[in-house]
Amino acid sequence: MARFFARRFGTMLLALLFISTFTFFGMKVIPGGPFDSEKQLPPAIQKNIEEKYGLNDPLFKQYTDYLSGVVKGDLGPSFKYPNRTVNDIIKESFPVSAALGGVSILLAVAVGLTLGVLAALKQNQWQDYLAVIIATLGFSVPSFVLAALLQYVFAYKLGWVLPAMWGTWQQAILPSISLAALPTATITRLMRSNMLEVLQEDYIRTARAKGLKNRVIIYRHAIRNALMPVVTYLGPMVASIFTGSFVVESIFAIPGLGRYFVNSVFNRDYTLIMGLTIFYSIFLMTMNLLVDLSYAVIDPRVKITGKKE
Amino acid sequence: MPEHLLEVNNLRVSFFTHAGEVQAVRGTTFAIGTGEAVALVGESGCGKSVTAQTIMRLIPDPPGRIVGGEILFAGQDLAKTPETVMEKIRGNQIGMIFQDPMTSLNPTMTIGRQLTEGIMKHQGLPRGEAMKRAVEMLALVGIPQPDRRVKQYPHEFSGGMRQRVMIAIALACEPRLLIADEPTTALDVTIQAQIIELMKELKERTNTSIILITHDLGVVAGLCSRVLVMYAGQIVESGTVEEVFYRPKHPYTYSLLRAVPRLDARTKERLVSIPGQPPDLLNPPKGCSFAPRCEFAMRICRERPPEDRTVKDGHLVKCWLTEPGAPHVSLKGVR
Amino acid sequence: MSMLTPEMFELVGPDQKEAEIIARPTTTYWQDVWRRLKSNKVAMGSLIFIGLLLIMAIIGPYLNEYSYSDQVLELKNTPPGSEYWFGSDTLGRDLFTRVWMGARMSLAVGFTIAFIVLVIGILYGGIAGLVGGWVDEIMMRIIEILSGVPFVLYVILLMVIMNDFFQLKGSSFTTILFAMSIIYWIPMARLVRGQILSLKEQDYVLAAQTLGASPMRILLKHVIPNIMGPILVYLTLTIPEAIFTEAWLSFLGLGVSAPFASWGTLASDGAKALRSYPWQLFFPALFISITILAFNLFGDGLRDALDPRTRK
Repeated sequence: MARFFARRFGTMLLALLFISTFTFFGMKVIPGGPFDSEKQLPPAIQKNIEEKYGLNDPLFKQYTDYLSGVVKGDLGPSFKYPNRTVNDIIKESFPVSAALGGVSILLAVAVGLTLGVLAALKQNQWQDYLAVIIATLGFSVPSFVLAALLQYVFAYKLGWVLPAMWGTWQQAILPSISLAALPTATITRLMRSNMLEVLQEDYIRTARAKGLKNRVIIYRHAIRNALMPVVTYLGPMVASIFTGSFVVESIFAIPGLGRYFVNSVFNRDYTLIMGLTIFYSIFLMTMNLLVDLSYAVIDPRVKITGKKE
Repeated sequence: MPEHLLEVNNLRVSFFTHAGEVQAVRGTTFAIGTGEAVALVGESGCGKSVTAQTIMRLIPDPPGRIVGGEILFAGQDLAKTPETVMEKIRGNQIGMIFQDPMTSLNPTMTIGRQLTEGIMKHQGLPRGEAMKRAVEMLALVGIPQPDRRVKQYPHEFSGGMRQRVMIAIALACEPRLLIADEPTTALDVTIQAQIIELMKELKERTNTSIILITHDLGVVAGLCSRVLVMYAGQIVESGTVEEVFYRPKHPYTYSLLRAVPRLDARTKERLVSIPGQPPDLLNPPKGCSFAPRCEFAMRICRERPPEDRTVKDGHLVKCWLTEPGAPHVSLKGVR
Repeated sequence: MSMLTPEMFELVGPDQKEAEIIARPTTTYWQDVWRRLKSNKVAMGSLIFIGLLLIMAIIGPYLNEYSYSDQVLELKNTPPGSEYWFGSDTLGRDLFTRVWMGARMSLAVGFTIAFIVLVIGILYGGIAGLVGGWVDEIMMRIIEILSGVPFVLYVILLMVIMNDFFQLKGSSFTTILFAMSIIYWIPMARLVRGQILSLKEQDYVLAAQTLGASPMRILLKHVIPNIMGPILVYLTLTIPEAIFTEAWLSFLGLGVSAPFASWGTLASDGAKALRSYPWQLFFPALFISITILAFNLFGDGLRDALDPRTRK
């Protein structure tokens, strides 16, 4: 257990060091980047950045200062917004994204599991075909297309919701559907094929030989075992939902982290791009670690060790 | 003969596949008395397991279906019993052990839980009581430290130990019939003997009837009094172990016995394999199903299927060679 | 029942012809795969669609008199009709021609990325898997570190850095390819390495080694043919992913610069005008979706054909 943690943390730290270094020097080589003191910037920001990064210091010192800032959790000032730090922006917008992401995750898991199990139990019947069609569509229609279509139909044509606003729960419906579509499709496919596989297993036959009811066999024996591989998908799913929010939040004008990220890319707010990239990396790596840990808790066969598989 | 606990009459089971109807069991008839242990032997794919799973009604439908015959268990025809009633019979009146103990237990559930779910269902015991019974059962099948082992998962058990757990599960509700489908095939030889010994012990203690399915003739004699030899979905010879093994009357049984390696074999005695393959059950041959491989095949064997013929009290053979007009051939038994 | 006559009891012995099942005509593995693939209507339909798409990407832009960059401002935002088959955009450009120009860009991205991924992935994964030991350890650690961060973040960062470094307004085809391929080979490398490691354990490879086959022969005769299947499937699924990612990047404003277009930039422009001129989003979105669908379905079919055991 301790070895596993040590190894995972080591990898996480190295990955962070890598992405920080990559962003720092990446931004450094850009003409007119945040570290280019010849660039014309509003004086307040110019002062902030100079103070923060010590632009007159040698390059290596700037780099280590930047890294120590990251370690302390200080991601520096924004390049475009006067008097706001990256931390301020995260504090303000992350809860919005987290709420939206959380709803989408719940939606994807609930719908995906239900459809997947249903499809497997009713193999080659209409429920199965419906689930497969939904999964295939969810797989093929990009989230930004889905978001735009939903917005067009439900906001512009039917007028049921406002096209772009954030605040009430109704406003979360369309964005969370857009975000949840791809993970829902993935979970449906995973769950369907896992269920079909598990239902062929010998231990299901053993359960039947015990005289258990079909319903009990499915709930107690089949679903639990079919669920295991789905848990490993939760890490990539969180990443998919949070990076998916880049476009969905922009389309629905939701003041979340994703929209800030897109705006920062659009505005070339370099320090914000750097800060948010690092924040996303930390967040998603932590989520991955949690998922791996939960897998070990759920599956009694998995023993957490420092060894590779 | 004791009162029959199980009587299978002219059972026919088919699998309906894309290629057509595969007649896996083609008119199987046999009976088992209370407390009797019977072996069902034959090559892979001869219909042994299908017969066993049909008695338990575990054949997935589709594609499998009982197309004829009856399965009288304690007077009730299981072939026509609705699923809800079957649930009360499975695991309760009839227990079953499967071939591969490594995959037959749910990997994500403790042994105790897998043992208690049947007990709780059939005997209506509360969880605590059922757990006590589970510990008793584990002790009965010879698992050390049963009170600690119930809390463990299957992967913490060895193959032999898992098969003991399977036996405990099958016998937890004291069934009247135990069907063991190749219970020793996946185990090491030394463990095989232990498992057969355990089954024998439990049979004597509880007077449970046993159907032992195997292709290993070696394990038969240790446990069973009677043998059914199955070929291509039919029972071609049946009788006491002594009769069938020492005085086989069917060329298939004879070939099967010659194919068993023996430690005490006299010098130069060779193992003989059976040439050819079992028939395609999509279109079974119109005559005797063994005729294409039979070294004593006669013209009639290709034309017409043989009927059951009693050669001695309780020794039935399905072979034209037993016909009075047939030439005499020498089929020596083993030992 | 006819009478049993004595001659019916004449011994004739086993019937060799019937006893030994006649072996089916031998087919090679790939013939078998092709046969199974052909019988899969969905996969074949997808393949035909992909073929048509490729043809249209080549000839589509020449099917009417408009070029992709001609702006007819007085005819801007014309709905689909006889004048403009797919309508015109906000600058009065013909969307039909632009959609097929976009197809060129998107398909080129998809196929090129797949090719780059193939080369880098096989080299990296192959070296790690075949050499093993500390080399493998280090190479896998690098992969582990790189994949700690979601791919998209790298791609965006690289796009920003490269676009600004070269002071491009939008992106060029090269920067898109570079940014995407720098990270997309990782799953392929993992796949190849995993396959090689499991193959090394296989008895038939051991048997070949015992028989004195050279490492090169083992690689060419035993390893490569056996890992082709999973590699092909992964490649087929990489193409739609690359098309999707390119579209997505374009949507974020990192796509190819005007007057060039990819489906992603067309969709991005269309989304801005969605409220009034929905067809401007509809056509590119439709083609993105159907194309991704077709590649995914074909990939699924290919996987089933390669390994019938996984078929559900």
